[in-house]
Amino acid sequence: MSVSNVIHQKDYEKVVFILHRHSLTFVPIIGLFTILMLVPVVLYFMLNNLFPEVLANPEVHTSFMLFGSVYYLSTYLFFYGRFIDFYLDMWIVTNDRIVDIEQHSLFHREITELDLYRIQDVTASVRGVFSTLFKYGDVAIKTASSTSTIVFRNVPNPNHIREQLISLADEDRKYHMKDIALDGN
Amino acid sequence: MISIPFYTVLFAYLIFLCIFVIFSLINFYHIIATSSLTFVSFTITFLVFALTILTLYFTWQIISQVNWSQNLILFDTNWF
Repeated sequence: MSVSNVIHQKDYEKVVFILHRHSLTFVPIIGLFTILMLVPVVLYFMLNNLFPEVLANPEVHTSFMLFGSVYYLSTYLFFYGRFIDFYLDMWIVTNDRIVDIEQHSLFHREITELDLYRIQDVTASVRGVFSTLFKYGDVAIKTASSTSTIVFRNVPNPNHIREQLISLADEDRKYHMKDIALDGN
Repeated sequence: MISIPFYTVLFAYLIFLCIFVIFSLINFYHIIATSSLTFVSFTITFLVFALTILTLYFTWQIISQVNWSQNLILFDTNWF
């Protein structure tokens, strides 16, 4: 994947992480998709056994099949949309900044940037059985000057990322000493 | 008795197909525009595309044998 299409990298900027949500967090969507795929099959067998005369009518049978086709295509679209929502949420960490790209829906996309040297607090939280077992969780990043917080949601190894972010922020702070002094005045 | 020509159902289905194609293309455009075409996103896109083709093929198998010039009865007093 070429990051240059997503962010305009500065000449001294190197990408350290590209983070996506942990793949396990997509499993409930796959489960829901499987259940939704089985609904028309179950409904067809129920109707065929309970009211066989209804489906014997050719017009009703054709309408039922067309409705089934619409239902299946809508289910594929729902699944694909959920995948886009899942997969296009990404967090890019460079040696200069953090770029938070969140796809909320098909026509709603938010991109937030944060300079590493402005980071004040980094919190990693792992909640729940699955998160603990499979080592994924949230990383919340707060700055001193802004009330906004960037949260990496359900990313793998949140503790490791927290440590890396703190060390990257320290390095970047040394590089931006002048900017920090100006901010202080 | 209230009835409509049966081909009306086919037109409604075709309108739905147009909407489906537009939304699928917008989804795929998002993957391309954000440079997220990886093995994972390609596999999911291929799966959705293959399922769509299969569904459309089986739908075609059914609707190609239907006489669309007949009327679809929506309400008939003889039903009661």
